[in-house]
Amino acid sequence: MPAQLRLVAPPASTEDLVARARGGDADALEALARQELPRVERLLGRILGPRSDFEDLVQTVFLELIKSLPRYRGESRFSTFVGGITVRVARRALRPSAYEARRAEMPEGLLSPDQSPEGQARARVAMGRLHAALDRIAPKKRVAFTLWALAEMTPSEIGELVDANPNTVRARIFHARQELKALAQADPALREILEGRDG
Amino acid sequence: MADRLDTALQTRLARLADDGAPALDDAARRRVLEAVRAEAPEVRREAGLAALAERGGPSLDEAARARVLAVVRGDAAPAEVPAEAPLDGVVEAPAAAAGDRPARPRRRRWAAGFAAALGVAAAASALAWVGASDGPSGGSSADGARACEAWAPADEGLGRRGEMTTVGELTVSAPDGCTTELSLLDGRVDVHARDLGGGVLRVRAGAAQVEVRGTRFSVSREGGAVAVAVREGHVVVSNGDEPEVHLRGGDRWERGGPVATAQPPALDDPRLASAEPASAEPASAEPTSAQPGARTLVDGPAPPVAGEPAPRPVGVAGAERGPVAGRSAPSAPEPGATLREAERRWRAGERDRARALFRQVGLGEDTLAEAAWVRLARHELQAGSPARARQAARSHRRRFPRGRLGAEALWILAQSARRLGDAGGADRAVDELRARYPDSPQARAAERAE
Repeated sequence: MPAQLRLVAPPASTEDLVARARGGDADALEALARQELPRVERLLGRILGPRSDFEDLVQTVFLELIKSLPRYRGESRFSTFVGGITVRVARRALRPSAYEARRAEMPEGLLSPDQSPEGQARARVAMGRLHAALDRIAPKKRVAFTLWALAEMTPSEIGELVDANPNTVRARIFHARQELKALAQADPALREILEGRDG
Repeated sequence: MADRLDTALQTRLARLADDGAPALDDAARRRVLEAVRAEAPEVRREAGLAALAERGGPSLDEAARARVLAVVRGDAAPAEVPAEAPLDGVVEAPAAAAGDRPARPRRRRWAAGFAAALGVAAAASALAWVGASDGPSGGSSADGARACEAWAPADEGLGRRGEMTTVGELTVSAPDGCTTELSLLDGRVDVHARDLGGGVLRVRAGAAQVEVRGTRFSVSREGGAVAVAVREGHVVVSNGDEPEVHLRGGDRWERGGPVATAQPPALDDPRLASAEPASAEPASAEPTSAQPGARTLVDGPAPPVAGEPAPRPVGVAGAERGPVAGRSAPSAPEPGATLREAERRWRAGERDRARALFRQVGLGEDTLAEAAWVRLARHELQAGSPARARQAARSHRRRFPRGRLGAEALWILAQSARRLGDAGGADRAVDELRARYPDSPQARAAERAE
């Protein structure tokens, strides 16, 4: 008889999960969040870099996702839908008023434990410097560039997330890169990062 | 322009990001997932209202919808939702004894509602459905034209409808705006539903299906045996293909052998004390006393005497794990001791257990109950769970709209809303804080923060 507990089986598809989540099924909500969490972390981390409120922002993405579920009609992939929300949250977090207060050294616990201490330290310094430079680039260009360069997304994929034409995304990436190169003229460390001599 | 994008740069920086970008640790991921789960009741409320609006009849305009949401969430101050708010015809008053209910009923004024309490012990085998529908007189819950109030249980309780305490695994779903289903996978759930507003509550825990028409009752399970003991009101039990059985106050129903722990909830349970009895039955201090003419329906060879008290007062399966275990026993811990235990558990990192204990104390009606919600909210906020903090603070506001700790609850509400990116919610909380508690330290802190 206890085996009947297994009747509570995980849902088969994202569509099923979404349908149940819309009804307030906590299990479905959690399953969706569990499914999308790595991607949300990845996107947010790459767009924003180290932040003291990183966990809060991840949480905010999912809370906004929950609010937005009724609007999801299945016309795009669910991951795209979540990605769009993630980008919106990230862009909001990039506003100066929200950004300056939360800019922080990356807490040790936020780095992947798989890395060597040396690699962690080097990568942390490089990412910090890169994001410091990105702070000087307009948000639209910054988001496009970070999604392309750091999250390895194509302009088409980025276009879906930011609701822009792929050619527009390409232009933003191009101009962001030009601006970074200009900044690198006066910053040897940044130049090393961009030109691949960061070790 | 595509070919002008430097793919080498992309590869180089992506590798760098792989090594240096932030990522959550397991504990942080768990907190995120907990926060997501904590939002489920809000989703159900929204879904319930959406279903309500789509079921025909008058539709809500935006302003009315906002008012309904404010009522359901308990966010709105009384002045924000006047009694004359045009909710009529959209959200009907519950069928039973609700004719004089104001448009925005206060929890403590739901004296006309019924009180249902159930203790479910699930070692988990068969399926038991427990449903509760409106009013002590029974409701036409199967009536498709019924307009029930949208409702959904919150994690820490049943929202406006009552309270719920869970120890173990419980999933909640809302198939429609009028029905909420609790699936107890393991452990025990105690529900004190004061007024379901025409909606249906089901607890899934065994093979039997129990439909309740407004009552206080308990469901117990020991191994393959299930028992239903009714304190007062009216219960309809169906079990597989068996015909339905109607139980009244004092009746017991058993299948699969006697269940020693089966007994109706005690009338002196502090969580039931705040609601008037659902029927005119005289309150008795004896938790297992039966009404005259009470019956016991069993399939075993030696049925107990009708209405006979359960041989053992406590010992419900899983009881030793739950804060609500043995709640009808005279040795139930004092709320103060429970609160101290909750604090100790929280400090020890036993968050789930601590939450259950805080919520248990929060079911009371005194300052200690207020303190339990505020402390829980404060802990959640400090632990980086603003969604949970907001939920606990809201629970305080719903239960104690003029409580002594209102300023602290509002301040936590504002902080948690702000951390969740809900600037509007934060502003509303601060406005209310200033208006209601202008001289409080929290109001001064809000001034300084701006």
